[in-house]
This record gives sequence, C-alpha cells and structure tokens, in this order.
Amino acid sequence: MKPISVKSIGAGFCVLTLGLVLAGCGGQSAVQPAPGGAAAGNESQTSGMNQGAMGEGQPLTQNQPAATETRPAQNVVYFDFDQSDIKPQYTDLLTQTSNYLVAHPDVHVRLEGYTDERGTKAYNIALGDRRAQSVKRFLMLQGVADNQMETVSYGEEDPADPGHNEAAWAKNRRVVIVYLQ
Amino acid sequence: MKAARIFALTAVLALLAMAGAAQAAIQITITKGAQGALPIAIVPFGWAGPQALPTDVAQVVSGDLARSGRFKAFPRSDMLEKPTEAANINFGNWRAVGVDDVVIGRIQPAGSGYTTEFQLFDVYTNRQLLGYRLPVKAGALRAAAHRISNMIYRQLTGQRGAFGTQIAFVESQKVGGRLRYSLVIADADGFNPHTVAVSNEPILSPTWSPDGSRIAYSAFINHHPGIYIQTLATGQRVRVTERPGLNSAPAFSPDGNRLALVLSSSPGNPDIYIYDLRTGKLRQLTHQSSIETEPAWTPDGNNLLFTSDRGGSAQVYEQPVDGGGARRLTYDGSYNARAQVAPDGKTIAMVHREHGDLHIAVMNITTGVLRVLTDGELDKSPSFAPNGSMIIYAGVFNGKNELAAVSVDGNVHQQLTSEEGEISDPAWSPYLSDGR
Amino acid sequence: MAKSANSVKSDARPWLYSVLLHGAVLVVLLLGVSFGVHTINKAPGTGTDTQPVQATVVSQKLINEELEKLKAADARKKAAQEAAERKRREAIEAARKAREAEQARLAKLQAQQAAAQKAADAAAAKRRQAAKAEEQRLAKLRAEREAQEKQIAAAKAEAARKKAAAEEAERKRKAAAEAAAKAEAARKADLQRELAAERKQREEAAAAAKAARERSRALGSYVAAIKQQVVQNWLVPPSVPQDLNCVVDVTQVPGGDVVNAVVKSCNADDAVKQSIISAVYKASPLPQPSDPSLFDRQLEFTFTHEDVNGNAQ
Repeated sequence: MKPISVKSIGAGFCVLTLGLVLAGCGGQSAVQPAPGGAAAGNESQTSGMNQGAMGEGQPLTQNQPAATETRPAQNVVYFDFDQSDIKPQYTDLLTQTSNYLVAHPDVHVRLEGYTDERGTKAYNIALGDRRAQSVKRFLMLQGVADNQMETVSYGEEDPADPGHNEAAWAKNRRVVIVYLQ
Repeated sequence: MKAARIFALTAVLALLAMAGAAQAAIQITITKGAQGALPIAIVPFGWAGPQALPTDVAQVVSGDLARSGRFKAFPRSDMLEKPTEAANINFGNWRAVGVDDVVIGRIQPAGSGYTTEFQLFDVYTNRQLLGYRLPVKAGALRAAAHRISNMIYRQLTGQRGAFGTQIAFVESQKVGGRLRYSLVIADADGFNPHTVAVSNEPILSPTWSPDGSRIAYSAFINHHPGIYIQTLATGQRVRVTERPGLNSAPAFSPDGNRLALVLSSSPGNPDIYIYDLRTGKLRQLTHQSSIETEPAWTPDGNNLLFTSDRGGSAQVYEQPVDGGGARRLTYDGSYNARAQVAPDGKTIAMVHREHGDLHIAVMNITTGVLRVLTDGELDKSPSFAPNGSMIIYAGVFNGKNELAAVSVDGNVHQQLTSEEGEISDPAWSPYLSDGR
Repeated sequence: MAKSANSVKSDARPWLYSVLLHGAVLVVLLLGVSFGVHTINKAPGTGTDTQPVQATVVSQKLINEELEKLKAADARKKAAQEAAERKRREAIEAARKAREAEQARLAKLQAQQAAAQKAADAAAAKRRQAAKAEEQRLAKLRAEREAQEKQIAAAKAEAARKKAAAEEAERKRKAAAEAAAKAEAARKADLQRELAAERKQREEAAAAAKAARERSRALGSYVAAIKQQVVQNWLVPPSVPQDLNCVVDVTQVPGGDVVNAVVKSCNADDAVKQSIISAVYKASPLPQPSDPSLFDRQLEFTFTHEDVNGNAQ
C-alpha cells in the first residue's frame, strides 16, 4: 500500500521501482529522524476534535450501505514529521473518498497540503505539495479522474492548531480534502 | 598560535634592542583587540524652538548605534553635563566616566524644516572627528537621525551604516475568523510601518530588488500560488509566474535583471528556475527528483545556493548559474536550509536544525566552520543587513511569531516585538537609493 | 471419596478376621504340645517305687569264720621261713654292692687324676699362647702409637705453616687497603677541588645569567603589561584589514602617562587609526617596569590583527 512516488518525471526511474518507491525516488525516503514520531500516534486522538465529531482514522467499514452515495464525513489525512507517505490507517478513508468520487464524476475536490512549522517556509511549501500529491495519486489509483482533483500546498500557513507544541504540530501535518461542489 | 609566535618574536627583538643600544625604543606588538562596544555619549541636541521637536534626534542616534552592538550608548541620565557647543565640552570629565567619543548637535528651524548640525569628538585627543550641517525637511527628522547614525558609524567603525534601511515582513492575523495577510515595510528600527499588500490568502517570501525599489513575493490567489513583483513607489503589481504546482521563493539576481524562483517541473517536484525579467524567458536550473527550493544568489551573481534534500536530508547546495554541477556546502547537522549569502560573499546564514530545534547559524564558506547564533526553537528566515553586521530573522517568542536580530558574531541580540498579529518572513532591504 | 473409604474398610475386615483366626489356632497348637509333653514324662515315674525283701544270710557267716582261722596259722609259719631267706640274700647282695662301689671309687679317682693332668697341660698351653698374643698386641700398639705421633706432628707442622701464610696474607691485604685508602682520599680531595672550582664558575655564570634573565624577564613582563593594557583598550573596528600593520610612536613620561601618540605608518582606514590612537591614550598611564632602569620614554607599538572570526571556531 505504499504510495507511488510523488515524482513521476522522467518516467523511467520511478516506474521500475514501484514497490521500492522510497528507495528508488530518493525524495520520499525517510532518512531523517522524526521527533514527531511519538506524537504521530496522538494524531489519531487529537485530530478528531479539530476536524469534526468523527475520530479520524476510524475505519469506515466497506459494507457500509450507500458508501458511494454519501461523502465520507472525514476529510483529513495526517502525516508523520517530514513524511509524505500515507499511513495505513487512512487507506479506508481514502478508498471511501475515491468510491464516492468515482461514483460522482461531477464532484471536484481540492487537496490542500499542510505541514507543521518545524522547517523553513518554502521547504514546507514543497513538503505540503508532496503530501497533497501523495493523496492525489492514491485516489487516482483508485480510479478517480485526474480532472476531478486539484492540489495546493500552503506549507505551514493557516495551521489547524496555532500552538507551538507536538500536539499542535501533529494536527497541522495534514492534507485536507475540500469538496468544491 | 599566531599571537604567541608574534609576541615571542617581539620579546626577542626587545631583548636584542636592550643589549645593543640602551636608548632604542621598546617595541610592542598588539595582535588582537578587545571584543566590546565602543562607549559613546550622544548629548541631547540643542533646540531653541518654541515647541518640542517631534523627534528626539540624539535619542534615535543613540538607539541606532546601540542596536548595532558596536557601541555602548552612555546613559543620558548619567551625563554630568550636556554641552551643545564644542567650547563647552569638558573632555576630562568624559574621559573620567569612561566615554571614548562624544557627539553634540544643534537643531534650528529653517523654513518649513530644520537645519541640523552635529560634531563627533574624541575625548582623548580632544579632536573633532566629524562635523556636518544637514538641511532637514519637515517630518524627516527621524530619517536625518539615521543619516547621522550612519556617518558616525562609518567614522568609527569604517563600515557603512545600515540605519536608514528598511525591513519587509509578513504579518498574519485572524480577523473575524478569516486569515488576513499583510506585507509590511518598516524602518530598520521598526518605526514607520506601512502595509503594501493585503490578502485573505497567504503571502510568503518577500524579497527586495537590489535597488530597493521593488519587492517580489509569493502570494496565493484563489487557492493558487503565483509570484509577483510590486513596485513600492507606485504600488503596481505584476505577476511573474502562476504555473501549475508551486510558485515560490523568488530571489532577485544582484544585477536585478533575473529572478530565481521555484516551480514544479512535474507534479510534486519542485526545481529551481531562473526567470529573465527583461525577456520573460524561463530556464530550469536544477533537474532533480528531490525537493529543490529557496534559491539565493551569491553577490557576484554567478552562483545560486539552494536547499535540496537530494542526499536524504535538507542541505544547502551551490550551483553555477551558467552550467555546472551542484556542490553540497553544508554537512553539519540533519537539516540546513534557506541559506542567504552575506554581502561580502564569505559567509552564509542559514536555518540549522539541532535537537529538533531550528536555529540561525552562519558558516564560513571557505572553511565550512558553522556557528550557531541563536538559541530559539523555531528561528527562521535569516536576512543580512546590507552591511553584513546583523541578521534579522523570525522566531517564536512567548508563543508568538516575532522578529529578532543578531549580530553576525553572535554577541548582540535584539527583538522586534509587534503589538498585533504574527510576524514572519523578514527581509532586510539593501541600501536605499535616497541616501539613507 | 466416601465410597473409596468404604471400600477400603470392607476390604480390611476379612484380613483382620484372618489374623485373629490364625492367632487362635496358634494358641491352641501351643497348648496341645504342652499337654503331650506331660503325658510322656509321667508314665515311667510310676514303676520306680518297688524294692525286693532279704531273709537267708546268718548260718553261712559262722563257717566262713573257722576256715579263715586255720588258713591264717599256716600262713604265719611260711612267712617266717621266707623272711630268714630274704635276710641272707640281702647280706650277700650288700657285700657285692660294697665291692663294686670300692672299684667304682678307685676308677673314678684315676679318671679324676687324668683329667686334672690334662687340664693342667691345657692351662699351661693356654698360658703360653696368651703370653704370645699379648706380646703381639703390644707390638701392634707400639706401631700404631708411633704412626699416630708422626701424623700429629705432620698436622701441627701444616697448621703452623697455614697460620703463617694467613698472617702474611692479612699483612699484605692491610697494606694494600691502606694504600688504596690513601689513593682514594687523594682522588677525592682532587675532585672536591675541581667541583668547588666548577661550582664557583657555574655560580658566577648563573648569577650573571640570572641577572640577565631577570632583566629580560622584567622587560618581558613590562612589555606584556603594556601590551595587555593596550589590547584591553583597543576596540577593533570591523573595517580592520587582515594584513593590518600600523606602527605608532608613543611618548610617555615617568609615571607612564602618554603625552603623545603618532601613527608612523598604517595600512588601514581612519576608523582603525582612530581606534589605535584611542587605545594608546586609553591605556595611559602605562604600567611601570619593575626595574626602573628599563623605563623608556619612547615606545614603538606595532598593531597587527588576527582574524577573529577564523579563530573563533
């Protein structure tokens, strides 16, 4: 379930390494230690408060009736520090989202990538972009049409939580799926 | 090492001199000076007008010089006397209180404005080192004070003063639940702020043109970023790029003719580009599958420094603008980003991560020796003063995003607090064309 | 649980009965044997009580007594005859025994005389032999004594010789030691004289060197003190060139007050020159030398500069 690399340029070198994306397309690799690692687990608990009643990462069961008829209530995917690969607990949410979008080709989404503030601003813009692209690629592989999605990265701007601590940072490392109609 | 050798040599020479001619002068070699601030007294300027002046010029000069870290302004309250004329200066008294230099001055009304005179004296030789008379327009006393600061600074440090320069920064606030971003320009001492651009979407990475007449920045419009150049005198704004993907981190070339910037060479893949402002031609400089961003020119305009995580972690690289491979510059630590090159081209300032915290660090390009200057947790966006003496940066102080400045030797720290909003992304202006 | 206890109990009961039964049988058997023994011993006891009656012995006794009286008179007559015969035989026998005894006594005497003669001869021979042995023993003893005396004399001679030799050796040794001691004393005396001379020379040299050192050290610390005071007062402007070389002529008066400071040569800008002149004046009064003779009105300061950033690491 690893996401395909954000980098698709020069198709040659990434296509070959689909299963080894992280190694093959260096940009994604998690070389740096992630001080936010401890807080990453907390994301699951804390983010729900921010994004609505539903605890994020809670699996939306696949046999849920009318799964393709209603928009998933959850629309935020959270990331580890300095990472852009989608964590396993979000695959259900994204599958649900893709089912809905496939069933509703007229619906468009904007995937907004964000980061915490622990990096330089422009680097964070690039990191947020990677996250948005990660989500977009996942949805595309699930059959969502390219033209149904747009991405934007705000980096560390507009934090979900303006605090300067681990709890806030965990909430800010995110991609928000915004339904445009 | 060097000092010891030189001194040993001196001692030998002195001994030989002793042995030879007893009347030869003793020779002493001084190899190193003290690290410290020059004690200077700025005596309140004389003013005989009917109303108090809108600006206390001596106070502004005192503040300027003290902020530079090179001077220690003698407190006005400790002054035994406050002469405004050279004839009234008792140099012995100033020597006694440990002051090296004294500045006196007088302001007179002249038409709608003023005439300002000032003199700088060395209290040891009782010599006037500097003396000027300046015509000052109404409402320009503060600017005049900065000019005086510049002249004194130059006289006593040999370096050009940057007291008349400005800083640009971004202020963000939640107003009625909506974000409001402002691009603000203020004097280097924080006075006279004025907003030059406002948006409900983020404004990022302001950067000055070399002549100080324009500012380039990245701004989001309708959820899409673009790079814009705004002419300060007119407020006119032109869009440089608004390409799919990223449009970020613009940087004027030293000649002002080109703009380095970051675009997505493919979805999710930022690379460094050079945009020719005269021809509108765009050229891709880097071709990497990693993150390449935050370009910064070297003063000669031949190279660009930028942040890249091609090696697995964000580090600073240098690449010739006109062809040639990239060279990694930083190796110290797991994250070094957003480099800026000092005006002399010898050192770079950058954001350096240490134990998870972001600090401002400087590195000698030749030796690779890195020195951390600040000890905050989220210190970012370093920007050199045009004379290279100070670095302004953004940080979180008491839970709020504010600006601060540090001298390049790390000895002087100052903080610029704002009453409202979160402040970030400072950019120190070049020397400004109006002589400030 | 209860069931199994019951079952154990019911199993034990026949065993107990069996024991009791066997015990009873054993008792009966033992009693039976005892009765049997009594029965067997009682039967012969009843026959031993019957004795026969004696009634016919008196008439036979009188006859026997008369017969006996006749036999006795006959016997006494025969016995007297036999006794006379026995006495004659016994006298013949005694005469013969006396003769035989006299003959035996004579033979014995003869044997005794012969034995005595023989013993006397043997004793004489033995005496002669003993005398001869004694003579031989004495001769051997004499020879031994002579040999021993010779040996003793030789040993005494050897001891005397050795003693004389030892005495001679000791005498020689003493003489040699005395000679050596004399030589050593002489050598030591020479060395002492040499060392003393050397020491004196060295002390003189050291005193001279010390004086020079003290003067140079005094000058060194004087220079260092001045240097330090000026260094402390020199606030180096940022425009200082890396290859700075500024020479300043300084005039001081006794007490160290700087009365003049003139830049003789300098490759830096006005700010640096100003900082140098200020440093010299601010350092006034300059430190005094420990040795007043070191004082010099004219001092020459050379200002150079290290790369502060480069050294700061």
